[in-house]
Amino acid sequence: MPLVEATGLSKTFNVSGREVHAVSDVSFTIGRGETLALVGESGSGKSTTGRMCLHLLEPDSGTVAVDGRHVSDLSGAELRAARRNMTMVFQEPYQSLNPKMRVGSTIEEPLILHEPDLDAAERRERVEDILERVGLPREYRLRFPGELSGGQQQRIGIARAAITNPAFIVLDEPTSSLDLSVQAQILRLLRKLHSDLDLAYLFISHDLHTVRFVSDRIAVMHQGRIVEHGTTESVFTDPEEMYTKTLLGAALGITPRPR
Amino acid sequence: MSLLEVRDLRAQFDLHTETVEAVRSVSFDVAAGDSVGIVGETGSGKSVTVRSILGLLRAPGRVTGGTARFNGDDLIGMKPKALRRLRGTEIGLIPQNPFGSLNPILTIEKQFRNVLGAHGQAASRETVHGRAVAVLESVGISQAERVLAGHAHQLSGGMAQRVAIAMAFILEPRLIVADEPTTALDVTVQKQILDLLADLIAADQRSLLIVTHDLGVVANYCEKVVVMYKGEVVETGLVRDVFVNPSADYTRSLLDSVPKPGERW
Repeated sequence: MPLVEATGLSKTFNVSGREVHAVSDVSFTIGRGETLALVGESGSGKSTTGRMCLHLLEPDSGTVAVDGRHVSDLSGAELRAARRNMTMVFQEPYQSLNPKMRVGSTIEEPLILHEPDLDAAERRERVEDILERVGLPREYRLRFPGELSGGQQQRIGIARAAITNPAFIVLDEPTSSLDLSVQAQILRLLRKLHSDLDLAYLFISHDLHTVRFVSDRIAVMHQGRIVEHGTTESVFTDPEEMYTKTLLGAALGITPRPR
Repeated sequence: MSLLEVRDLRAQFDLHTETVEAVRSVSFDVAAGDSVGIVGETGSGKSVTVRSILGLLRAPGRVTGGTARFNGDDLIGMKPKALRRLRGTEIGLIPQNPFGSLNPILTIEKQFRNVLGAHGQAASRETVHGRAVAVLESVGISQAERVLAGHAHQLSGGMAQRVAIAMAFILEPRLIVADEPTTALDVTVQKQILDLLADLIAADQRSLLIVTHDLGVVANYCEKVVVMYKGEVVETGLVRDVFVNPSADYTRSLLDSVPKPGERW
C-alpha cells in the first residue's frame, strides 16, 4: 500500500467572478521513502495540489489517503493529530517563520501540540538535537529569524517540519529563493534527512535540474492537470507529451552553447 | 578601444554603523557586438556595478573610484543631464520586473510617446504610432495596435517584458543592459525572451550586458563572462573557457552547485 494516495483531486477558485480550474482530476501515489516531483510553471496547480495533500486546502472533489486513512474523513482534532505525520516546508523561509519568536520556540511548537507528555527539558533536548541534525549549532535556538541567513532560515523551516518524525513532507519550492551554493547545501540536507528518517517527499519545483537530481518519479503539471507521469529518467530521456518536450527544451544547461 | 571599458570601479554604502565596500576594483570590457554576462550570487555586487556605471546608484550607495568609459567618455562623474541623454539613446535598459518600469496608469502608446519626447524625438501622433507598432512587431507582438491602446496590467509577464524590450530598442541604443531580465518569468517564457534578445542584438551588431545569477543564461546567451564574488571580479574570460575550465575556486564551486544530468542525490 502506498504511503500517500491522491485520487481525483480537483479545486476551482473564484477569481473576481471568474472560475479558475486550478487543479483538475489529479491522482498519484507516493511510496514510503519515495520522492515524487511535481513540476510545472507558475499557475500549473502544483502548489494547490501540495496544499490539498495535507488538507491545508479543502479539495472540491477527490480524496487523499495517508497511511491508509482518508484525510478528508478526519475530524478537526484527528486532522491536527495526523499532521504529526505529514508536514510542509515553504518556499520563502523568512515569511514562514514568526519574526518575533526565537527559532527554538518555533521548532518546539509542534512538539507541544503532538507530544504533550514531554516536559520542557525533554523538548529542549529534542530541539537541540534537530538543530544539530539540520546543521546548526544548538545555541541557535535562542536566535531570531532576522539574525539568520536565508539558508539558515530554511534549515529552521526544515527542522520544524521534521521534529515530529513525520513519514511525509511536502516541499514547496524549498530552494527556489536561495542562492545557488546554498541550494546545494539545502539539497544535501534534505537528502540526508530522507535517508536517515526514511521520509517520503512530494517535491514541488519549477527547476528541472533540481527535479532530475532528487526525484524517483516525476509528474508534469500543466494548466491544472498531470500531463505526463513516469520515472525520472524516462521523463527526461524519452518524454511523450509535447508540453514536457517544450519544458525540457527551455531548461538551460550550463554547457556553453557552441557558437 | 571597446565600447564600454570599466576600470578599477569602486562603490560603497555608507551605513550608520559601518561602511560596506560593495564593489571593489572591478574591471571589464564590452566590445561592439559582444554579449557579456556578469554572474554572481546575492551580495556579490553585480547589480551595484551596473547601477554605478549608469549613474543609477542611490544613497547611501556612492561610487568612490574608477572609470567607466563608453565610447571614450567617462560615465562616472558625467553630468546627470548628459548621462540621461546617453541612457535611452546610446544605452538601453531592460528591467527585471517590467511592471515596475511601466507606468500603470498610462496607455502603452502614451509611454512610447514619452520615451521619444524625453529624447528629443517628439513627433506627430501618426509618426510615433507607426514607430511603436514597428518596434512592437520586431519584438514578436502581433497585436501591436491592441497592446498600444491598453495598459500594463492587461499584459502577461512575458508580454510586458517584450514591451519593455521594445521601449529599450526604439531609440536603437548600441549597448543594452539587462538586470536579471528573465528572473521573474517561467522557463518557457524565459527562453523566448532570451532568444528574442539574442536575435535583436545580433541583427545590428549591438552589445549586451546581462546581470544574472543564472549560470544557464550565461552559458547559452553570452560569449564572455565576469564572475563576481563579495564585490570583486574573481574570474573573467570566454564562457567556453571559464565554464569548461574555471581557474577560480569560487567559479568551480558555483558550477559544481548545479546538478548535472544523470546525477542523483
